[in-house]
Amino acid sequence: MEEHRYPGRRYEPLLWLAPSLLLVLGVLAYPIAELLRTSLSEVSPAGVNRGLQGLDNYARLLGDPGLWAVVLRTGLWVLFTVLLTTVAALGVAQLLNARYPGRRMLRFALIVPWAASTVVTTLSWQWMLNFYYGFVNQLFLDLGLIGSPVNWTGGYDLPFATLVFLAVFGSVPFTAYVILAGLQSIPDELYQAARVDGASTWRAFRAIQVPLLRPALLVATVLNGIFSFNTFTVIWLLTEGGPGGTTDITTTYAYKLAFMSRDIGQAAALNVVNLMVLVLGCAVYVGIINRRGHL
Amino acid sequence: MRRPIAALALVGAVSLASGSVAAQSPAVVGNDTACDTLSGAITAVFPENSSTDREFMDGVVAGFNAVYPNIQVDAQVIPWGDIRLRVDVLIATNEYPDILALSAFSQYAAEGLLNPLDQVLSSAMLADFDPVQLTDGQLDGVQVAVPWVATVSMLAHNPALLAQVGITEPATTWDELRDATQKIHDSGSIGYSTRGGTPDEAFSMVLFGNGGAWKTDGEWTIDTPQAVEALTFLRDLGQIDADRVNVSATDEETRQVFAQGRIGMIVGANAYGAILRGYNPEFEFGLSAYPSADETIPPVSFAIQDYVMSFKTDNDPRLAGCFLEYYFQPDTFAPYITGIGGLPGTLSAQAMMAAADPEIAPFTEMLHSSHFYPNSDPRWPVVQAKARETIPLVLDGQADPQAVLTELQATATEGR
Repeated sequence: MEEHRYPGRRYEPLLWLAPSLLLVLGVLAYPIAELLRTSLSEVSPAGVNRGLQGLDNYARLLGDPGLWAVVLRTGLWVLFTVLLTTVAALGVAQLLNARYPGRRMLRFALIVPWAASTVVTTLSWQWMLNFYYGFVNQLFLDLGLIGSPVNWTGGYDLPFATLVFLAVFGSVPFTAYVILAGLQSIPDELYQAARVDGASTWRAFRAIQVPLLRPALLVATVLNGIFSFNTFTVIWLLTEGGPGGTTDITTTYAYKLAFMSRDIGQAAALNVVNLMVLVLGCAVYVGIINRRGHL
Repeated sequence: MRRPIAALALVGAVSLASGSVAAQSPAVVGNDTACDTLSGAITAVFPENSSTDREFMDGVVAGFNAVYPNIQVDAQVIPWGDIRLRVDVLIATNEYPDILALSAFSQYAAEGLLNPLDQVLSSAMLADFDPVQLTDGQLDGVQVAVPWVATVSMLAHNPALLAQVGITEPATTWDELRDATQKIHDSGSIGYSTRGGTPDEAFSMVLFGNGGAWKTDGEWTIDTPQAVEALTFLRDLGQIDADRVNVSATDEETRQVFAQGRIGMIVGANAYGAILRGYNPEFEFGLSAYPSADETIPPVSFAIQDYVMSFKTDNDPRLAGCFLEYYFQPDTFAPYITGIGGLPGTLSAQAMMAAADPEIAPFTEMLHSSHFYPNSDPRWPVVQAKARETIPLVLDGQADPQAVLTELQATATEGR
């Protein structure tokens, strides 16, 4: 059957995409435009928008002494969570790839923390890590691992580490599955050839898996970077960025600017900057996909 | 025959009630208009002080509509954790509430968003409010907020733990406080936890106890030498039990641990009886005025006040007045305040509650000589939020008192 050729045929896909595009425009574009407008306006502490004020908010944001510590911490946060997630997920993916009875159960069990809502996971851990009544302290005390209850979520030393752990806990499943997809695309013959050549397991891993997994790792890293930069729930529920702002990253800091310091203009400016970073991350991701032609 | 007597009784009731409005008489509001002639629909937003608040509010609205069916009231009761956000949204969407009860009013007043209350309430009603608290609700001499409910912050102590170390009277000076804390600590319990009450409240107690203040003569005085001395004292006091106190303990958690008899002293409020006995029904504790630096300064009485205000909307401000006059009648208002364990802002309710429970009288007396937060300053909510973030850092030895207080002073005086 002949395909009808009519003028504008090449734009037909857009027509099919129109409803989704409209939705995206409405749900994303309009709020972003409002955000930009707010970041350029002066908003009083009571919430009354007093009109456009140019780049005043951005100037004050750059002059905020507390901001740079937060930016540094955000960088460290993204670095540690992505790094630890990738390392842990690589190990877990090997487990998922191997053949043994009960593998399906394991795969299912792994999906659960990722699928459960962040709030549920975080609150469960919050109770387990409670200083006075938590299960973790109780267990560690009984096992003799610690001498007195440890303040996992409070104090000034541990909360950041605890938060990294929780973030990694939530992202390992997803990353492991992405890596698993990569692993499963590696043909068995390569391993057999390596064994024939006398390579040890570790050598096989380094020589075969690492190069062939590079695309999957790249995708996982970029996505994890974006998700990690965007974290709010875990930190807010566990420490509210405290104590005294010592676990604040840019997302929680922006929230505090808006609702505690009541400086909505400055908060909007910070969020615009956050958005830029995320757009950059997405551009990198899309760049990778386009070059490879597929995931 | 009956009518003259009824009319006489009515007039008598109105005059005897000294400003409070009897349910059946026509309410007089700003400009002396009877509410019967007014009609409209208003919104009222109140925070949720207890689990029975919603029920109470429904009852008030029903009772109000029985008398004035022409005025519709959409009364919303919102938990404290969500109410600021809700008010932000209402303001951002220009849906100002006709009536709002909240802990702060100054930033709305500074924007000119509030009705002067002499346009809303009758002069008789305004005269029923506690004059000491009333001045706090003014901005540039205009009454924009009236006192709703207050609590007085004091020192809550565990007499058993004190007796164990040979102390029979609660501390009245800082030296005695430090001494008691050290002794209780040495005996194995927590002497004093700085986590009782919010950080700004904890700091206020020592600030006023050292003769300092948040504002003096209209100027912010947060980083004065007395203030630094006070914060340093509080830090050192808290550090005595540093190894035993969970630095991230919330206000509520600290109360729970106190109710288990593990802490000697914390900052407490007059309403604590019901709360602490809720955690531990057999718990015995005492409340006393918070110690001052030395004998030359009177023991500290510090009150935290919530207000009722009315926003300028398209509605006639007198509509809000009609509802508020009904709401603030002692028969309606006093039982509610008694239920939540606070202190009412109206003299009639204070008298009624004192008559019913003699233990209330000393607290309402204390209210009259209390210090307050600088509630009428528009920068106060921002300063308070900053204080809540940074003062715990000082108390945990992570920041320098002078540096933090200087920063707070800068936050307060920074113009917009």
